[in-house]
Amino acid sequence: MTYDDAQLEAHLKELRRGSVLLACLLVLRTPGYGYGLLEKLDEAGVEVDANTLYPMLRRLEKQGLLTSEWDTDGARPRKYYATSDLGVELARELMSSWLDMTRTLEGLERGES
Amino acid sequence: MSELTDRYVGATLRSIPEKQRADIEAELRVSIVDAVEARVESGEDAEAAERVVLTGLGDPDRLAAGYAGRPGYLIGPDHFFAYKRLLTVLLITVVPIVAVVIGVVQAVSGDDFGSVVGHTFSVAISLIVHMVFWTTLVFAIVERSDHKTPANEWALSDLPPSLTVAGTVKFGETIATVVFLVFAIAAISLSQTISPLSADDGTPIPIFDPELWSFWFPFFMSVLALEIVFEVVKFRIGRWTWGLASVNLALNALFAVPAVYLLVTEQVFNPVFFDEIGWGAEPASNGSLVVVTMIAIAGIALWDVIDGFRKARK
Repeated sequence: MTYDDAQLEAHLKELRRGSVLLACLLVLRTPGYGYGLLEKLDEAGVEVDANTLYPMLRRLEKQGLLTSEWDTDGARPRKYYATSDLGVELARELMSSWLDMTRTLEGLERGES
Repeated sequence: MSELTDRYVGATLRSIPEKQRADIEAELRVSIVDAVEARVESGEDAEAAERVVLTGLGDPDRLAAGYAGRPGYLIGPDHFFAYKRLLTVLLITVVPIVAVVIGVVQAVSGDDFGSVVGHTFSVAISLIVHMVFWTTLVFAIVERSDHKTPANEWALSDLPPSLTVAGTVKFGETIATVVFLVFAIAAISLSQTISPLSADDGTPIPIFDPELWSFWFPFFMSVLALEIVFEVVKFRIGRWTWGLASVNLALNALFAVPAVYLLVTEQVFNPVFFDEIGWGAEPASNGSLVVVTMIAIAGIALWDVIDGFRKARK
């Protein structure tokens, strides 16, 4: 039996869920706007759809993890988001859990228990 | 910005709360323009780029649900199993009981076998549809209102009672009340088509005023449906609380106050019916039938409310 592409895709999607939020919090320690963030994440290799990312930014803002500000100086006004202190703290926490998980999985792969 | 983008943004904003619209619109528009521009810079045709970008954003309703934080499903995993359990209990208890009772009543009243079966079947079907619909509606509303409080944690005490253990009385009581309420709903809905009296052309003459169908019958049926929900919630909580007693008060008031009002203003009974049995026109508001009905409705409601608070105090 083999897995097909659709199955692989579904498993990868499951695995990536949660990493997007962490990636956002990390990237937005430098303020950024919607499409710019999307491009940055894409370049960094974080796969996320625009229709997932944009609503998520608002949700994180509502939770106090991001702050936002309209910048009307440029050619077109853009909403800039930045990770709040709370967001930085959460990112630190999530990052350490992520690394723990990585170490645990590596241990399991090597056959340690 | 083209007409296509306008339509897309419009479709997205349609179901977003008024006060968030302006902000989301401005942000969404500039995001679309940014994305289109990036594609144009890398050599794409502007129109084609716009199509690709909008297609990539996907179903505007889904996007709007994301912005508004609305779930994209009717009943989520938090409530699904409670929903399924409740529906199962309702269907396997209420439907057979009501079906048997209807069947017996029909058979006793001398109908032939075919019409007994047919009638029982059609009542059972409509009962199933009603129960599934109302239960689903209530859970879907709970799913949409329950953002902060997590679903009730499952506890050992939620295990279904074994039939030999004491404490099943409460379950029986709940079921009995629910069955009674379902009967009441069925009685209201059937009162228009089943009557001991019929006109010369064979159409039944209902005892209740047919005008009540325009609003009051659906209203009373909804209140009774809410009372079913209330009974189930009460059973799940396991004991009377002040909150439950207050809701009980509200539900009783919702039923009794309009009922008494309608009786006093002589809107309940069908004048044709009483004309037919020789009582003359519609029973007057001071007639004995109306007075007795009024006292019964008010009395039962009052007793039920007091009983609720009495039990909550213990």
